[in-house]
Amino acid sequence: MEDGKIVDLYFERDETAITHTADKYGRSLRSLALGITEDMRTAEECENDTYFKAWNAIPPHDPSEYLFAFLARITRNLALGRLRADSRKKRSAHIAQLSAELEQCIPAPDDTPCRVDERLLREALNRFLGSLSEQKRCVFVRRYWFADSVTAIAARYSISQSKVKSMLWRCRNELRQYLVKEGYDL
Amino acid sequence: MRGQELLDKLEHIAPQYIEEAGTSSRVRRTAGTRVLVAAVCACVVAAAVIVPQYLPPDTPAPPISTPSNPLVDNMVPNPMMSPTYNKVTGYPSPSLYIPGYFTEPLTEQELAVVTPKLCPPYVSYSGIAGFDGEGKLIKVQLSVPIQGGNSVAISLAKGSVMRDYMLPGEPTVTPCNGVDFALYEVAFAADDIRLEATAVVDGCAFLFETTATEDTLKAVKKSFELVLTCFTEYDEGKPNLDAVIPEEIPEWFDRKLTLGEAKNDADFGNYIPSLPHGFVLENARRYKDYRNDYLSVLWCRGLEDVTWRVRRYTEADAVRLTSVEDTKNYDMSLYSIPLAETVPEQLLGIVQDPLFQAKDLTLDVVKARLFNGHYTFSVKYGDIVVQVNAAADVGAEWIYEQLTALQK
Repeated sequence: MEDGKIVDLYFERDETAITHTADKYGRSLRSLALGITEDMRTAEECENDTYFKAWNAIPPHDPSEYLFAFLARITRNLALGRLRADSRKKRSAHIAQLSAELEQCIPAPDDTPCRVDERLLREALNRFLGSLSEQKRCVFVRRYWFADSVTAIAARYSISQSKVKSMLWRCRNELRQYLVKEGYDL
Repeated sequence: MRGQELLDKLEHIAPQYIEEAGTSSRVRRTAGTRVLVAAVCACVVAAAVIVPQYLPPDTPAPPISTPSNPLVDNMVPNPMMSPTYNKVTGYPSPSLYIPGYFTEPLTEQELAVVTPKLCPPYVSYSGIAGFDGEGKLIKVQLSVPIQGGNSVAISLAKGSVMRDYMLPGEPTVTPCNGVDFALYEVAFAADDIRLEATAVVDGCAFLFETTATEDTLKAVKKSFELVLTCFTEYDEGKPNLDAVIPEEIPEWFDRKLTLGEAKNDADFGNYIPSLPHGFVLENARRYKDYRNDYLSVLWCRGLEDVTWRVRRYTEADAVRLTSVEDTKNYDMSLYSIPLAETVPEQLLGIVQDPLFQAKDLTLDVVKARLFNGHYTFSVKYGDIVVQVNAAADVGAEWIYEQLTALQK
């Protein structure tokens, strides 16, 4: 079913909207949550919570043009929230690895909370992503937004793991240089 | 700033990049893959020649009648079928949007002409009729309880039956008393099995649905088949759907508005606040049907959003009404993710969307509602309820100012 029709069902408060959403995107959302939380049960809870939040958010949100992005953002947020909230566990090694990689993009990393205007930073990140080739952009987003492993990205795009690592390394350097050039005192 | 913080801030990258990466892939096709793809294409082409059949959309199941005493007139049917279930993996999705859709319970007279003369023992039929906004009958939905607390939902409509998953060829048909049923066994979750049956009799389409688990499948199938057998026995050969007419067509509309039009709405416009700083209007909607009547406005800034929905207070809201002294009902600093584990079950509903009297609202109360990046709560002004769902960016002070201004 097309995204627009699924969103129409949400607008009509038709509970089958959830079923259609789960049919079309459930696996991807669960996979996204699993990549972050590394726990299937938690991932399933994040997936279900995503449907609940989507149900409450549509309407008035009308994500007909970007339903997957809308849902995935909720899932990512929930999964990262779960990871932080769960003080009984150590922080996910995978997320720690991603954080460490991204730290290489920050000109002067420190423990001070970021004071830059979030909106401006967001726009800068989007401009940076827009400047990349489609494949580089997808690899970057798969790694740092979807929290995919290098192996999974290599399999997804039928390229070698070393090429993925190389692309990510270049992207991180380019992002760092871009942020410096844009004058972000991070 | 550390890497973790940048990882968080990446959350707000443009949706098109997420969609792009979410759907992109490049799979190297080997010779074996090509053969497989060709085989799948052949199956799809074969399935596509099946004439699609349509039945109007699903609606919430009607209430199941309390099992009554054995009905004297009910004859126990003799199952006369050797059922063959077509196995399907996946979940059917038969919903369509019907503008102005509404339902009414069937009257006794209507029930009498749409139900068959046979009924499984110790039960009775109940049902609703669904109409479009013009009062045209879309479908009749009956319900009959069966073993194990389940029920069979039976949809009747003029026309034909919709199947939106495809089978690799025509379904095997199970004949019974002159009616050809197509039976389906659909596995759609780990431990849930959906049984369906379709038939078309003289221009009237039947869709039967129930659910079972691996443990109950055998017993449920037996009851399900008994119900199917009953529906082969109509006095007039088929249900008389022409006799089902709406008592009253409820008013309905769905209008997209400008902000000016929203503020001028006679019912709820006075409760729409000024534009949050830096946000732009994405959607203003005035909606009314037989169940809902509201005005909602959504402002966005990137993926940040503020939703303001205004509607009338209903009796159902009473359970969410809370005093500001009762902090356990609304103070989100007392709870953490996942709410299902940290909030007592009996408080879950009120904690997720508490309703405050406007006169009681304070800035601290608004601040206490910040959770997971959003403020979510409702405020009651006389018989009006304002539901707020706002991103943290907009600030508790702005929300409080707008809500208190509405009292003046």
